[in-house]
Amino acid sequence: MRRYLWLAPFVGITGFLGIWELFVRAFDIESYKLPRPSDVVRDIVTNRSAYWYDAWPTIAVSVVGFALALVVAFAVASICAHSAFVERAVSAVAIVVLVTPLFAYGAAIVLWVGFGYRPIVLMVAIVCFPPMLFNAVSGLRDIDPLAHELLRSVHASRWEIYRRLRVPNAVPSLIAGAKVSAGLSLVGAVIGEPWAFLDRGLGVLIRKAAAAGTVGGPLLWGSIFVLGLIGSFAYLAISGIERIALHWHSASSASAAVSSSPR
Amino acid sequence: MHEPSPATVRCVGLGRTYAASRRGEPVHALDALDLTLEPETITVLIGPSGCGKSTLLRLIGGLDAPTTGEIRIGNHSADEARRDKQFGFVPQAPTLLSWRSVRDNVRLLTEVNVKASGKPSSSDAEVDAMLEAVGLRGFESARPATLSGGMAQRVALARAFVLGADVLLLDEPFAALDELTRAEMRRLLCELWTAHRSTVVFSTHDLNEAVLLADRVIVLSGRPGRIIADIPVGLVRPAPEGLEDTPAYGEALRQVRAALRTAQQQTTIGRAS
Repeated sequence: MRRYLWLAPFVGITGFLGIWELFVRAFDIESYKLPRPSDVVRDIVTNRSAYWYDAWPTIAVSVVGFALALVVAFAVASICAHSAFVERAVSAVAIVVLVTPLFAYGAAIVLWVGFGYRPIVLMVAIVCFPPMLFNAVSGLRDIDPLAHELLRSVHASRWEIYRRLRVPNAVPSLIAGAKVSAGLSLVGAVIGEPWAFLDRGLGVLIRKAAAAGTVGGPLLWGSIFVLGLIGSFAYLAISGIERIALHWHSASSASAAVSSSPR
Repeated sequence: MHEPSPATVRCVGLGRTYAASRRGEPVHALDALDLTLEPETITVLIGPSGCGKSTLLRLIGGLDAPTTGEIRIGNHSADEARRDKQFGFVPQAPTLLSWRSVRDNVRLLTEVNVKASGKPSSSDAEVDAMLEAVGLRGFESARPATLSGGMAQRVALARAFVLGADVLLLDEPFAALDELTRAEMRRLLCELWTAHRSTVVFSTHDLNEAVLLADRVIVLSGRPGRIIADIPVGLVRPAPEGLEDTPAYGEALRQVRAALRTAQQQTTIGRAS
């Protein structure tokens, strides 16, 4: 069975869609309530350029917001790793951000930075920030104390310890944080888009489909499928980077503080 | 008075007290310890757990500051010696960086603090020669995760010796290895030491290891660590076949064991009172 393990995700997803399909057919559920997955897929394929038209800005803001959060989280974590006081102070703020529903920020951020893509990038960055920060801090802070002493025994500076010990040590947990944040970035984008009165984006498309009532079913589910596809692609891309990085990093140190990755 | 050799380690009135934790008393790890370690000798520290062996090694290496007394490495303070990279440190675990190859692990300590120490980082040729000396030729590009415990500790020895440091501090380096591997590692350490002639301070729990390696065994009592006995040994190194059956070995072992027993008793009494 082990040889066919790589097939399992495909079997799982097609199985799930198959059961859904049979369920809708068996109970003859109307398509605006719950469309057949085959109809949804057909809708996506026929209207692919229309979906792409809306998917593209959502992908763009997610990627930019994600990257912004990564850079800022790493910089802040680098300071936190050197001071327990700063770490606690910053963590308190990050936790408050984390536990406040993102939806609540929408209007406030639009009022602050104005309409357009900027508020959405900011929302994506805000939602991606806490997991990246917590993971980066633990990776940069929790170094092997003996390795730390070893470097100190030749009078290595803080910078040298940071560069040669802390940063490489943080790679696995940073990737784990990025995996969590990749999914969250889409959440931020989809929730943010309607607030900014954009005319494009999957979040906007979902609003439109919902407003269309009984004819919106395939469009609504089509948007959801496309979001799922984008999210899966991002997850797979990061897993690919992880495999390369951890091969370089060695399997034995593949520890991650907050990881949602199914192994 | 003549200039002291840069590899002479002198501890005068050395004491280290750790501040009290929330409840409980401050811990006196070491108390008024006087000790001079001559260059080109191997000194073994032995004593009951918590007798301050690690503390003493860390103080000598300038990783911790004494509460009282002082340490001189040649003409320098421990901190100055550390800046000049005069210490090679071998910790209890191999402590290899998993993301670096064997070669890059050996080179690691030579790469840092290049400016202040004035010692350039090691070339590939120097590192490879050291790897050859510890019997790891062909493993230059291997990752630490693929090495056995003994091989990893060889890398740790190579990493310390490649520094060309005057003073080597080994903190129970072979404690986690099985007896056969330990014997191999002792032989290797003796070979490397014969070639480099640094001042070696080696801590251990193991009587046999102490007697086989030492020019001199220092037996410490526990909390506060004091010198109970200072026993000259100096058997042939590396130990030839059958050394353990000779009267000289037996006598040294008996002396160290007796001193260690005294240390153990004093430690127990010290804790009871």
